[in-house]
Amino acid sequence: MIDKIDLIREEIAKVVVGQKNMVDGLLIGLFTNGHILVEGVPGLAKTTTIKALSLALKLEFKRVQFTPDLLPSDIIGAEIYDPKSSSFKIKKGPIFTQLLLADEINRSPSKVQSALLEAMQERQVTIGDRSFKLPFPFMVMATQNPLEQEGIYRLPEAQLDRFMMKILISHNSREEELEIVRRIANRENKKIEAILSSTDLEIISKEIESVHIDREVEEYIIDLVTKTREKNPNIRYGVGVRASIDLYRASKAYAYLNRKDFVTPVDVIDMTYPVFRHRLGVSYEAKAKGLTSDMVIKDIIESVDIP
Amino acid sequence: MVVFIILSIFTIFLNGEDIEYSFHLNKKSPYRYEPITLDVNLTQLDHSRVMFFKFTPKKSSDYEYHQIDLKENDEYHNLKQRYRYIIYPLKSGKVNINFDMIKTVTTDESVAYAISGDRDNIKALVKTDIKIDLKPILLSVKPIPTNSFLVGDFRLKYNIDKNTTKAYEPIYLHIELSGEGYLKPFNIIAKNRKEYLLFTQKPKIKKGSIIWDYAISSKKNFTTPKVNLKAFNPKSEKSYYLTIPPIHIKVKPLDKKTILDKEDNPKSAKEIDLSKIGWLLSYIAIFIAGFLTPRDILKRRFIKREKTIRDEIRDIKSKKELLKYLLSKDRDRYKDIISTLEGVIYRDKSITLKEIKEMIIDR
Repeated sequence: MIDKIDLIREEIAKVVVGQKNMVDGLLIGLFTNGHILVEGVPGLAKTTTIKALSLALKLEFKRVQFTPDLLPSDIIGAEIYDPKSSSFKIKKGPIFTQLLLADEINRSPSKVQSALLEAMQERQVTIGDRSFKLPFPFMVMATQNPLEQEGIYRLPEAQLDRFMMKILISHNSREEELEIVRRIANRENKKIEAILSSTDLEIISKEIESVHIDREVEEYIIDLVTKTREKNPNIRYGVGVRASIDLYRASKAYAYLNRKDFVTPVDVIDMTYPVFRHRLGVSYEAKAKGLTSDMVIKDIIESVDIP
Repeated sequence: MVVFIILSIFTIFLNGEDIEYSFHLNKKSPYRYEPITLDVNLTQLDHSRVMFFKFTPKKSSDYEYHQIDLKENDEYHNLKQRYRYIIYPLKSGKVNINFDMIKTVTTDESVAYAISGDRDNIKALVKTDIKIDLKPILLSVKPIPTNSFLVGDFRLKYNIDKNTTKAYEPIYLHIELSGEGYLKPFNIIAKNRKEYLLFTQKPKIKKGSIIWDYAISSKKNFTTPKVNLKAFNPKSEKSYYLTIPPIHIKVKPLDKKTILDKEDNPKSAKEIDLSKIGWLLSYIAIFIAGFLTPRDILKRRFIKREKTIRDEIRDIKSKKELLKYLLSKDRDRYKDIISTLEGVIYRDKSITLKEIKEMIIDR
C-alpha cells in the first residue's frame, strides 16, 4: 500500500510543482484524521493541491472563501421554509464534504470560525433540531495570509489547538518556478487519475496505526511536550495534551510516508515544528528579540536528550 | 433768543400729505472748505400705515459730506428719523445741495409675514417704494484768500531726534498737523533733493490730524527744507502761517577703517594649500580603514566558524550526540548523514562513529 502513496505524490506533481511539505502534511492529516492550517501568501497552489488530492483520492471537495460578512449558516446550512409543503426543509452547507478548503479563515468573525471548528472537532453538525454526521474521511485545510494583518479576526489559541499541524509554505525555488512557467507556456493540462479508494484509506490508516513506536520514543515525545511547559523566558504558555496526541500520530504517519515501520526520534523532531508552532505561546520578550516560534522550538529540541 | 432767531432763518419746514420734513443748517453763507452742519428731521404724519424712510444727500463735486449721526425711534406707524451731516463746500459761489429720498409703505401683515419663514425660505417684504422729490438747499459760498492751503484752526508740531549724525545714518523727523477744519492728505516735504535721501511713508490720518514720519540720510551736512503753509481761519476771518524752519544737520564723515574687515573673509586662496592635502589624506586613510575593518572581521569570523564546526564534530563522543548536533545545525544539508545515523543507531547498521565523522568532514 505504501507504493500507492508515491503514486499519489506523482499524480499531484502533475499539477503542483514542489510544495512537498504541504502535500505530505495533507496526507498525514488525511490518514490520521487531523486538520491542517496552512500559512502562506496567495498564489502558492493551495487550492490546486487540495483539489488534486481530492481527485487522486476520489474524494468530494468544496471551497469556502471566508469573508467578514460570512454567517455560520453559510457553512453549516440552515432550515428553510418551503411554502409549497408548508414545512421547513434542511439546506446543507458546504461543510458536508470530505475535503474542505477554508480559504483565509481569519477573515471571518469568531462566530463563523467557531461554527467550523466545532464541526471539525465533533465531526457532526446540528441544523435546527436534527444532527447530521459528517462524511468519512473529513479533513479541513484552512489557510491564512501572513502579510495582510488589517481587518482580520485572529484565531484564538483554543481554536488553533484543534488543528493537527500548521504548515508554512513559501515561494518555489528557481528551478521549480521555471518548471511552472514552462508548463503554463505549453498549456499542459494533465488529467489526474484516482489512485486510492475509501477502503484503501482505511487500510493505510490501520497500517499507520501499526507502525512501531518504542517506549523511549514515546517518552521523548512527552519530554518535548513537558519541556514547553517549564519556566522559560521565551515561552508564555506551553502546548496542551492535544499536541502530545497529534505529535504521536503525526510521527507515526511521517515515518510511514518515509517507508519506515518504526518511529525514530528524527521523525518526532521533524513533526515537532508543524505540531507545536501554532500551539506554543511565544513571550513578548522573545518577540521583541526577534525570535519566532520555530526558533523557540529548536531551542527546546536541543535541550532534550535524544533517546 | 437771538441765537434762536438766527437758527430759525436756516430752518426749512416742508409738509407732505403724510410726512413732515425739516432741514436745519447752522450757516448758509460759509467760506469755501468751511464745515457746516445739516440736521434733517423726518416725521411720519399718517399713522394708519407702516412706513420706512431712505434718505441721503446726493454725491457732488461741489461739496463733500459725512454723516455724523442718525437717531430713529423704533415705533411702527409713528416713525421719526433725525440725520446729522457735516458738509464742506468745495467751491465758492452758488452751491446746491440735493437729496435722494424714498418712502416705503407697507402693512403690519406684510411685516409679520416678512420675518416668518426659515433659513432656506425667506419671505420678502411686500411693500411699495415711493420716490420723494425734495427741493435742493442753496448755499452762497464765500471765497477764501488766495494761496490759502488750509481752511480751519490748525497747529503744526515737529520733532527731530538729533542734529548730528554719521554718514548714511538716518535722522528721524516727525511732523504733526492738528486742529479743526478741512483736512486731506498731502506731502508736506518734497521728495527729491540732491543733498540728502528722503525715506517716506504714507501720512497717517487720525481724527483731526495728519502725521508724517520721515527718515533722512546723507553722506555730508544738509539742511531740511523750510515748510510754510498759508492757512485761513473762517471763524476769525484771518489768514495765518504754519511754519517749520530749516534745520541744519551735521553729518560726521565715515571712517573707512571702521567698516572694512582687517582680514580677507573668505581668505584669499593660496596656490597650493598643504594643510588641506594633509586633511584629505587623513580622510582617505580613515575611509579605507573603515571599509576594510568590518570585511576583515567578517572573514575572520567565517574562518573561525568553519574551524569550530570541524572541531566540534571531532569532540563529539557518541552517535546520538552527533545526530543531535547535526539536527540542530542544518537539517537539509546533512539529510543523508542523518539518515545514515538513524540506521546506525536504531537499526544496528555497522558504521563506526569515526567513519561518519570523516564522511561529514570530507564533504
